[in-house]
Amino acid sequence: MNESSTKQLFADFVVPCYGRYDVVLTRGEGVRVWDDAGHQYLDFGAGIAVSTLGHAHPKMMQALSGQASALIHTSNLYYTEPQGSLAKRLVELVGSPGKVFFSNSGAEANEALFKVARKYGNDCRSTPPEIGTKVEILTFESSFHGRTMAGISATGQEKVKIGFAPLLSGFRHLPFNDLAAVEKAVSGQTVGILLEAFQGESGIYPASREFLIGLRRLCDEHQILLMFDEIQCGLGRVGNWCGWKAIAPEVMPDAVSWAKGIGGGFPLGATWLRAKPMQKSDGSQTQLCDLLQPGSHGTTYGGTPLACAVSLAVLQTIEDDHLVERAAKLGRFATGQIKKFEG
Amino acid sequence: MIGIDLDPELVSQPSPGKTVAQTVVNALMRNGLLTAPAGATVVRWLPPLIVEESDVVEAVSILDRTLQSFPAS
Repeated sequence: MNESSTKQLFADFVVPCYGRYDVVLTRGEGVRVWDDAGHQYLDFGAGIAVSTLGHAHPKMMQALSGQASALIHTSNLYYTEPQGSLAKRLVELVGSPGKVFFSNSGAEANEALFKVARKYGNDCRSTPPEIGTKVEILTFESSFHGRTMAGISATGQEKVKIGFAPLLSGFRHLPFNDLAAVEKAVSGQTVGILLEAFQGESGIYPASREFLIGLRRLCDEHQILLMFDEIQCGLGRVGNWCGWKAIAPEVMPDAVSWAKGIGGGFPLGATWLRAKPMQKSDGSQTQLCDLLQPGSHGTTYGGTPLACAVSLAVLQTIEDDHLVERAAKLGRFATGQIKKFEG
Repeated sequence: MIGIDLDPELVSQPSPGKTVAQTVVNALMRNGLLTAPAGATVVRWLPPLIVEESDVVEAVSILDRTLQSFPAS
């Protein structure tokens, strides 16, 4: 099919919600992709921070075809080994006991954060007349947390909200890296603070070390959940397995969301919840990672054997080939080269 | 993840309806480098983690050539 007919198909049949560049891509290998006229491109977008191992990586192909011929999907009515193994790997990577919920995208990974924060507010911070009032989540200006209704409500950019009122209530956006503003905004209604350690959708803005440390302290003082959106900056992208650890390694969050690079191009979202002890309003003991009990949350595709086997292969290859260290080293090299254009 | 913050005046005449970042991302693509905009003035580099130093050198050279193609305004 030639370029003009592909574009005509999009014009006639695809919802025009994306501003696409004028090229039709047909294949990729390593860090390069080719268009339908045979032109080659160096892919420094990686499908928006997704194609961790580049294109057509042999380890990823092996995991895809091997698991696809064994078992692609079962639903979460049953146990499957890759999901359990990937959950263990992600918990170890964060470095603090917890459990993982699997979904299919970053928006869904964040949705799990929003729901668990509300569950925490309603089940652990409220008595019956207060249910539904202690559910506020603080997020930041210039942030990006996904395109679902909750995602755009959480996102601190007006442009993603236009035309979609009424938005979900319970979100407030504060200036990024402004600890005093957060201190002032925290109230008895606040149950969570969500941020990207490196904001990456309306410019690239790293959090300051003092900000992350200060947020952890505030969250501890007020029993608020500290939640990191690692969808873009996590899993090696900023030269550390955990984006926030590149800034403040001693800070341990209560919850983390991942997507993008986690599947190397195969859709997968994941949400880590800390084994943080807490008491429910009825007096029973639980922990954050056990708040979502059977029937409270779920997704049919979440954590399919195929997605999890591919992700395990991606993470193993990142480790075996020392790609996190390489990202840090080449990131410094590239930054040095680019700085020559300053001024 | 690297953000290249562009001088908003870099592109004297951005393509109609396009930001400076989108215009530069498009020009980089024409020169063989795919990148992604982040906001109105920032170009993001998000290469696969398997990228080699020689790829970075090539990307920097394309960036250099592309930036020079915009006449100073």
